[in-house]
Amino acid sequence: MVIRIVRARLPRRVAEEDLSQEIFLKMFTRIAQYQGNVPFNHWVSRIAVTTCIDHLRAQKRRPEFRWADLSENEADVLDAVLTSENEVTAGDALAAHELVHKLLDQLKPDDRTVLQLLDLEQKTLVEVSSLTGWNITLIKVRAFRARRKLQKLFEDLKKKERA
Amino acid sequence: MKTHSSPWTRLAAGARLAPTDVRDASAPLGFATRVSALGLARIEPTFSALFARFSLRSLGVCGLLMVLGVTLNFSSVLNAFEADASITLNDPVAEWLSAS
Repeated sequence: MVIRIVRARLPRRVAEEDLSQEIFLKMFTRIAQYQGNVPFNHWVSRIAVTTCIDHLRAQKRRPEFRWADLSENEADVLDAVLTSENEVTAGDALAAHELVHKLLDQLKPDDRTVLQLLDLEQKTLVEVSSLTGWNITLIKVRAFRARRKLQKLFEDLKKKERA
Repeated sequence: MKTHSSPWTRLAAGARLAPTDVRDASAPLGFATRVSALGLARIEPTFSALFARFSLRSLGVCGLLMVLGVTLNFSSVLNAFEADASITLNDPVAEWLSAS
């Protein structure tokens, strides 16, 4: 479970094993704080998610998003979602997945986490709240702002268009 | 019916169709041992353990100081013993006691 959480939110230049080790060490040292009010796996997931957010925050710079850095498939998918109303086909799912993560890298860690949990993992607001410790209003506000930022990014990309 | 969707919504829907990660999610070999060792090493020491640790150190430092003190003042110590012996030699009571 911890490894899966880490893989989905792995910051750049941080080894999956190192981050997992840090999460387990936090669990180990904080085990006395576990009251049993929530299921144990929720408690562990929360530690894992917050540790990943901390690591993402530690990354001062986010990579610039450029058309030139995209693979052929990713550029085609991005072109398609920008110019047409058609849904992404299953054949382009992997490219869409990669593209989504590159776009999420442009956002602040908190915004990125909210969108990842809500839009990709399709968790409910209550589940997101229990995983992050944020209240539901804050989650809604963050999701709204993050989607607006992405919208702006899409508009900028549309203006630039693929060279 | 609302047909308009944002590029993000369509892209996220497409990304969800991607096959799930099938890589092995089990911990690598020796991971549990390493985490346990690091965790145990990080446990805060109790007051008694801290006291015992410092007591042992202070005992060692005291012993060292004692040896150093005797070495530096060896001549004075030797003179004091000799003076003590001469007092005993000239003391009539001490002589009488040793004779009896």
